Amino acid sequence: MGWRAAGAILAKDLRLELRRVETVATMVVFAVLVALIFVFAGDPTPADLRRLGPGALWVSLLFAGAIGFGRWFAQEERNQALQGLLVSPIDPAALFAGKWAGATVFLLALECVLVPVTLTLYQLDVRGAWGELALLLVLVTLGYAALGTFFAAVAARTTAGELLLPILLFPLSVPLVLAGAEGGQSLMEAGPTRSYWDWVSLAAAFDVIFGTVCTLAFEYVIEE
Amino acid sequence: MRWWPRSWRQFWSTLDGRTYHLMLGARPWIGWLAVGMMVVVFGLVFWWVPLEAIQGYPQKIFYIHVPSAWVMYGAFGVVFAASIMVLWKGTSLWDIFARCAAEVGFLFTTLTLATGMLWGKPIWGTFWTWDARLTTTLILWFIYAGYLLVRAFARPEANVARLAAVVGIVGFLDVPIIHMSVQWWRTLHPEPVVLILDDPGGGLPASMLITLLASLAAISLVFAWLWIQRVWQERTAENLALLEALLERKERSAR
Repeated sequence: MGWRAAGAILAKDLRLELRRVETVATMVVFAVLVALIFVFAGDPTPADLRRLGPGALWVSLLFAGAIGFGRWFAQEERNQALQGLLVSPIDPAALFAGKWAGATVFLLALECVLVPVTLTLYQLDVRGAWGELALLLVLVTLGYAALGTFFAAVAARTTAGELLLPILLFPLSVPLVLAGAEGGQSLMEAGPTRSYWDWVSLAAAFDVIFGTVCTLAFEYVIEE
Repeated sequence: MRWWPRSWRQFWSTLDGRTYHLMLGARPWIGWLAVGMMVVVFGLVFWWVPLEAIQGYPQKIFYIHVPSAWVMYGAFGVVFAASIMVLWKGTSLWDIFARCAAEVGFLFTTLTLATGMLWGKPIWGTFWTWDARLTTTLILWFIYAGYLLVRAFARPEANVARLAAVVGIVGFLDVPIIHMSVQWWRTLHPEPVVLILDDPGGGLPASMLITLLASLAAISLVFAWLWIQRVWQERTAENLALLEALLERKERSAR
């Protein structure tokens, strides 16, 4: 696989995003807003907050991602950039790997803001297990970015477009949401226990399976 | 005359043609057999099989619910296998197989959910609980709703067959992982009662097992019949479109 091509696509995406930070910036605001709205949905006591917190974090991340993936893929559609990439001698798998890495970086950047804010808003206590929390975040984000990039390309092939993306993406992301929310909760309640490691390994297995499948199948999605 | 195919390509195309003609020939038989079996099953369920001691009448929905769920998994297995064949062989018949199996499978998923909820109300006291198998089935329903929506909304210039095939494959591969994750999350569903291997005396009584197996056969036949019917419709529509295109070209060249 063309690692250089994948790297070039990642660099291009990062450069575009750094020039105009609009997408990631909008997503950060949106994600924090969702986390905030979650508090209004009930009238939570501090105990309720701690119970809801990890779930709210993943719901806001999921929603923000669904907005972002569509936009990151749509920028390839502008001025037939995708056609240009397709006629260039780049392996579709490398194209996918580049886009996937880009989406992962953007989501992780978003989490750098979202996670501290959610921890504060929901009065959560990580008990010093920052490394374990980061591991869980990275694994879940990798899997979600793979599915998101893949299905953004699928949705771009339909006339329904961004309307269809969450419908395809959310049901398939259920294992990731559960791994993030349940793993995060057990981490905050009891530290890195057996249950936390079970969820981490589930997320890791998900990443390996769907990273591979989406990379291989991407060719069939973008072909003309 | 050689009866064996000259190449793999020819082998697959003959197999496609033969399978299709075999299916068409079997269609009326399967239809009537399905109707007959359904009548037998209703007889067995309502008159023959004894009333379950604790649950009473609501238990009888089990004979429709469980086979529907099995047939649903079978249908999505067909979608998965046919999707792989679409990517591998690219013939339109496999695409039609996948599409029609997804439609009928979606119907059976709805039936599974509906009969399960009808049973849950008198037995569990609620239409819905967030039990592992219920949740997985609901997510499955959404996955194949998405699959059918991709087909419905695909752009004219997109290669619908391959696009849908990829969605069908990724969706099917996710099902066991979803099931496992939801299982860890919670479970309340009655444990499998059909076959309990480490307890030879346990499991279902013979009369209930016979009724269940008869119902499984009947519902599988209903599935097969609906599926073949849809395949025939789609294939006919495809042939019609082809004929129209040919006719149009002929007219244009005559002018």
